[in-house]
Amino acid sequence: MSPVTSVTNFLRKTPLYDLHTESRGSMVPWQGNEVPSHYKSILEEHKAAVEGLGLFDLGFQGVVRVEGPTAGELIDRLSSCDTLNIAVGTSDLIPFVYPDGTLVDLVRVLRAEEHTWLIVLSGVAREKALTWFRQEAMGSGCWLDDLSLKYSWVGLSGTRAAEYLACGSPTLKPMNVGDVQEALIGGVACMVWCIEKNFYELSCRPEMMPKIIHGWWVGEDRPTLCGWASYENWQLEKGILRQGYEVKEGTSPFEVGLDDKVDLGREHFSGRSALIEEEKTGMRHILVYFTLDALRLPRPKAPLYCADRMVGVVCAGGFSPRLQKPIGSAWVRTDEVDFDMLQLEIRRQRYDLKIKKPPFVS
Amino acid sequence: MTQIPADRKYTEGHLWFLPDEKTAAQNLKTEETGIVGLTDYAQSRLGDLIAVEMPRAGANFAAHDVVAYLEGILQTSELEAFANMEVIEGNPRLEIHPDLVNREPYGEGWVLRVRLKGMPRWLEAPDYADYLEKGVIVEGA
Repeated sequence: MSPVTSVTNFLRKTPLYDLHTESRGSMVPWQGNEVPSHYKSILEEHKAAVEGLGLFDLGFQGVVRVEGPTAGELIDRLSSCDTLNIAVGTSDLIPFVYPDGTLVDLVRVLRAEEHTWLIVLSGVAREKALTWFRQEAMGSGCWLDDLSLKYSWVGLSGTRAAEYLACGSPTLKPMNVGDVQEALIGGVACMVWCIEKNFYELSCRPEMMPKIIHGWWVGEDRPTLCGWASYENWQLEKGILRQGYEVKEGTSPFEVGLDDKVDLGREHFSGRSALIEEEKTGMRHILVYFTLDALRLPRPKAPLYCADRMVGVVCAGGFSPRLQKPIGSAWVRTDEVDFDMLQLEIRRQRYDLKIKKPPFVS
Repeated sequence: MTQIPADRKYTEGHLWFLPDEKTAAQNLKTEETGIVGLTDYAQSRLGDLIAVEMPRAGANFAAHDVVAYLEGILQTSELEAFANMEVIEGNPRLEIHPDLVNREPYGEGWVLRVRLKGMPRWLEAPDYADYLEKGVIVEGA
């Protein structure tokens, strides 16, 4: 372990950088940004984001606007599920797929208007996905505008999130999962995305984000600031697929359990033939989630065994504050593997693991 | 700013050593006994600790051997022997409350009591502060 030095000179700063440093966040490089891994306790931050009110800086997210009369068709052609039924003003999580049937990324798309769509890209795969999308859009009659530098994002999470949003913006209507609304929060125009129950994302112009935060927070009622470590732990506990961990180069939607996001009955979408073939022949690997009774944290690439045979590797590990147990995700071979007999090897010792379908905590 | 108490010695591996005989702190000898812990900087890099894997009492280690494992949310850290040493005991409270290392790194969160059998390269508190800031040890500082 050595001190972090000048590597941070090449990193981007999110609009909330000053807030993080003033709040004594432990600043480290992450997804090309200098952001806090945590402030004090990662597990307490995680707990606040579930049981109370937590705020994540999602400044690493990018967004692309796609416009034109054929924008809907373009997005639908690149996705393995039907996107044309997404109503104006709502969003959904869709898999973009390469012609070989593997995932480009799992992205959130918003149909802002009939022929205007916003695509939210995750930090890790942002550039690659954008380059691919530009190529696919060429000659499609759509306009593509990378708005990543024009929007900043935060996530508001926990059982108090809806109530807190309503206090900040009395005109905000109750939202269902997938809904997106324009609202004034702390006097600033922004978009509020209901990503899932008790989790909202707010996007606005970057220079206005600190104003929202300072204008909105009052007294002791303010959200707990949460770093990326608790964000990752929280995502893992919910079973949210993450680029760079569960989703990697060559991953198919079937392998990560996105069967309900693959509609092979549709014609003419990218990767359809390959996915039909995969459905026939079966998968060689699948993604599993597990808990561990031993107090050892599963680290990426740690091997999984079934008897004496190495049958998989860990994608990511974490710790569930509610279960008080280590949790993890792993890629496992499907051939002749007894999933009740899997063991994880850590420092030359084997530990039994229990396969569990996420979310780990409801 | 991370805390660095002046009453103990530090190592490049972000550990501290506090001799049992406080009078000996300025002039440590081999065969000195004392407690070892992680610095505030080190514990903050590991994230919340969920377990500490301790050696058995009486175990002997050569310099650079791995003596204990600290299982943090962000990473697992190997606590390396900074000199030849014998482990007298592990902090028994860490079995139930490993997070003491995070909460009180210079107090109740000590990790091991050891008997030194060699002399490591110590850093005084101001030198360790320099090391944290610059990433290098300034000779003769």
